[in-house]
Amino acid sequence: MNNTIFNEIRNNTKGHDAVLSNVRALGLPDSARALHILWMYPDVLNVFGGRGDLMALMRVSCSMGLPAEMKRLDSLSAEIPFDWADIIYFASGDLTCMEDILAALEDDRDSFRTFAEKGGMVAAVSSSGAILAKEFIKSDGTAVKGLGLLDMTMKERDKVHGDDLWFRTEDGMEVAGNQIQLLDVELGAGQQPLGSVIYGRGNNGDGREGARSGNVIYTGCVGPVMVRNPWFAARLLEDAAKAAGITPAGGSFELPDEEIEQELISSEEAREFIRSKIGGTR
Amino acid sequence: MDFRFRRAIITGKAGARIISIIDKNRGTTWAGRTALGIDPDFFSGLSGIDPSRVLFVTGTNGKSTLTALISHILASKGFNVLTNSGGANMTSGVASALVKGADMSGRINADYCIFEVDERYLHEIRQYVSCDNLLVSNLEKDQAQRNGDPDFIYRKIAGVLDEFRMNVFLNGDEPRSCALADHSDHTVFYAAQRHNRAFRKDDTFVTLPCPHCRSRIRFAYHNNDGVGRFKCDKCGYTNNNGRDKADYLLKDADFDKKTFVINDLTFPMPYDEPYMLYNYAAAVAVCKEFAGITEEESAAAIATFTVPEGRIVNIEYKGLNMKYFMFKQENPETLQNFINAAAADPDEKVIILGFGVVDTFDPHYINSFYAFECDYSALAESNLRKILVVTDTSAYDAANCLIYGGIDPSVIEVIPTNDPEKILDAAMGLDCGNIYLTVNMTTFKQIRKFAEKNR
Repeated sequence: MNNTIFNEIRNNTKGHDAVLSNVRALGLPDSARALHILWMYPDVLNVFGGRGDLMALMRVSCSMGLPAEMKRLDSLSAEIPFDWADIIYFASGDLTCMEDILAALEDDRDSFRTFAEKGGMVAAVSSSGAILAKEFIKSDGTAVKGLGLLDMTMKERDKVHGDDLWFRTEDGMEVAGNQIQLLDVELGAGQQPLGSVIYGRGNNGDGREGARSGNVIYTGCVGPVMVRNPWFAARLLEDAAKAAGITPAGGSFELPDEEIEQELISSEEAREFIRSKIGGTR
Repeated sequence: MDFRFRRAIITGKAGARIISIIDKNRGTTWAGRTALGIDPDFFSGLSGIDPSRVLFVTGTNGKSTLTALISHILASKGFNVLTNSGGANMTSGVASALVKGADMSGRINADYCIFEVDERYLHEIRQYVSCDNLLVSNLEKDQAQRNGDPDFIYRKIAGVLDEFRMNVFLNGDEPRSCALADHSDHTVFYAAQRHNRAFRKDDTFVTLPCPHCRSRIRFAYHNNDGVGRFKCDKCGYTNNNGRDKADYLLKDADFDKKTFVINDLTFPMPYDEPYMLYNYAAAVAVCKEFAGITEEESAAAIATFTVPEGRIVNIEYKGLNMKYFMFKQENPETLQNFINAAAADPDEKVIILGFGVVDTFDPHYINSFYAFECDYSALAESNLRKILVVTDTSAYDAANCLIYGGIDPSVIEVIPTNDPEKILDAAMGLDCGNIYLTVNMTTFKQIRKFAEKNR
């Protein structure tokens, strides 16, 4: 079991604004090209276990034999290192922060678009989907323009929706977690969802969950979603590595089943609970 | 007097009396619900309430303990205190307390009213009950299913203060609630000096956005999780909303001697968990400012204080003595408090940990994301015999979380059940007399009931 790797990586890289790296843990030289994960505004986008997702990306990449480095971007006024990043990750945050973040990113719209067109991965979870959307509409009716990387509109709900969420991605992978939804999601006509809902509300109760265009991804699933579904994390890492031209020594980056025994049982535990809700036994 | 109001008072009081004879722990909201059902304008019929002698206590954690502690200090001084005990902190709970405290004409004869108020019901209750004083313990992540994000509660309380201009008592070391000072003309800050159980979290952990400019808040240290010396990277927002110092600063906390100092006076520390320090400081501040009670008088009263039932509980089972600490699901701070308390114990220990189903509201669901914000490092390095992770829905998830946090997998034993007998027998089998228990409330009640029945 390799889950402790995050803690080992963490212990090896203590210090202010440190870059977390698994390169040495994988026995690779420091010069090895690592997948670069940029953790956007961690203290601002700080709710629903986003930290767990970043822990999982580091741990899963290690289990896959994929060298990875992660660093924080702390200040809203800091320059985004588009040339360095392979994955730009927006964990979930307070809804009230979205306007400030979008204002801070106003001058970076073209850079984000170029980054995404080149295959760079941009991922956002829960309310932070508003950053990638065309716009989000606040409860007072004010519309706030998003980066427009996904053809979707988000609208503030009158009431929070909180429940389990279980969905199947377009390529057949099952993902289970929770949903704390403050924004309903409406996909544009041509926008592909990330998956279809097995249990839960998803985007707006229409059976679709999230959105994906190339390597730009939004999901409402928290949990942390990457911890509870390491196969999903692995797929994202693999896609990002491919786009970054990082090739595995052995032909493919695979996540061995024996590395995720704990999560496989945990996931079944969660699904069993959801099944009991569907069956009315809870 | 309005007939309906009189009927509401009489029925409410009679019902409350009967229920208290049957079981004094039940019916904490019945009288209020009944009175409001008979007379929806029940609150307006009450008389004798002096708003300057009414205090609402709200916040994420510590409301019940603070309400009990302040009431205890006031009562020790001989004041007649009306309060809503038992966590009945919504409108009907406050109404119940008022029914019980009113005479047959609806007059409240208490010297002081101290009401614990649920954050979301603050506006509604303040509309009904005039109150000039508000104590906010802290505003942290909690009940995501109901509140969404924590800023939601901040905005609610700020709105109440903007509308009613109350005097506020604020924790100067907690960044979110501390900023509520912007919404009051009169703020009293309480805070605590760094103590020897303070800790730091490295940059892999998250803090919170600055309430003023949404930039990064950094902590120099945490006295409790999320409470300590902080500063915003961008605007410089810092402790006590930028004021030089807190009005009431708790110093020299000594967890061995069980003492602390406020305004040069040494106080006893009957409960020696770090989170209690802020409760002590808040209570001393409130009682001095609000009721003129001296530090000496507060110190004498604190010495005889017992925390409300259910927060820290000792459970005996076939010779085992387990220390239960209440933790709130979806609230990383209370879980971190438990972890720190267990880690601080140098003796070999067994821990029983269960996240369980979040079943406070419908739909019930399973959620452990809050647990990934806790630091398990000190626990990993402490004298652990075993950690038993339990419940039938999230035992493996909890185990995974611990392993991510650096706990050696060999000390973790997964017991995927809610069955109290299996859980307790597993603990018995480890032959260790030092057991810490923290599980979700439903599982705790089952364990306690079983243990009491089979002691």
